[in-house]
Amino acid sequence: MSPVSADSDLAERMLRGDAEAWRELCERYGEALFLYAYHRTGDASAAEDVRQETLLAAVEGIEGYRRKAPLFGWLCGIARRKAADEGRRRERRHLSLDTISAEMWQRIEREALPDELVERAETRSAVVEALWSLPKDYREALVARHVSGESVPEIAARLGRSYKATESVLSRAREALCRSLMKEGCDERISASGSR
Amino acid sequence: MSESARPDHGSEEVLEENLARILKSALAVEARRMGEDQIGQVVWKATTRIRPAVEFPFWVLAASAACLVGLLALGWSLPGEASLLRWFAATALAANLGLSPVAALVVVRNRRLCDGR
Repeated sequence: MSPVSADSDLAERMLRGDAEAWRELCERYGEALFLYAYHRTGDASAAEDVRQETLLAAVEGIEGYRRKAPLFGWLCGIARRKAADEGRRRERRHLSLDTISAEMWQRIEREALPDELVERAETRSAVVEALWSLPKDYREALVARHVSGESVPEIAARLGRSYKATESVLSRAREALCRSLMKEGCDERISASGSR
Repeated sequence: MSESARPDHGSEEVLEENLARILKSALAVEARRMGEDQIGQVVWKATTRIRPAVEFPFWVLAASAACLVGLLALGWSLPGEASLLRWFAATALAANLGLSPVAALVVVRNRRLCDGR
């Protein structure tokens, strides 16, 4: 089942007020939402508040979720607005939000990205959003390979797949992540968020 | 990633290195799990929220009536010797009239139960 299809089924149950579905949402995306909110606010306590407000707003607005888009992307849209509100409420220093254009993301394939870009909050939050919009096995494979530094055989054992299948998963996962970063429009995502 | 933008072997290393850097940077913070009270608050709100009432689907009755009018007209327009068809039309009329509202009510009741109301 594709992540969007799984999201759509979950959203259908959430729409009916199914308590287990809402619990599943919290368990599936709660930590990722914290990470996303943390990168938007720069503060753990504010990130927890933003996460909670986002999920409560999701309860109110679940009818507005378009089933063809990743549910986590939709949650991030709400979280961006909540993080901006939180920033205004706490009178936090707002960092400038220069857009990270698709063109800029395309450099990912050609040259080493500058530290300044890698460390930017916009980059981090965009990566979290893109990562959690991928299928779970893609995400796990990418994190195992690039963050934990696991070898392909180790990841194959973890995923219960053959070496070749794992290589293929990794390749498709990398492609999907890059496509998500470039195509889904960081321009749009970030400019829509206002300032933090 | 378009075909033209697909990295060759030379740029694959660059891509892998960049991915490692942006992923590590994005995941450098320890994610906090949601507490049971926080999940409970979301679940409580979701299950107690009053959603718009489901309207009785009157269109079902209208559609059913339109079909029956057609069926009846067909039955009665047949030559006199086709009385069996006329009886069939009349029986279908009665059954449909009786069952349609019941079916619609069942649909509405089920949806309300699903919505926890």
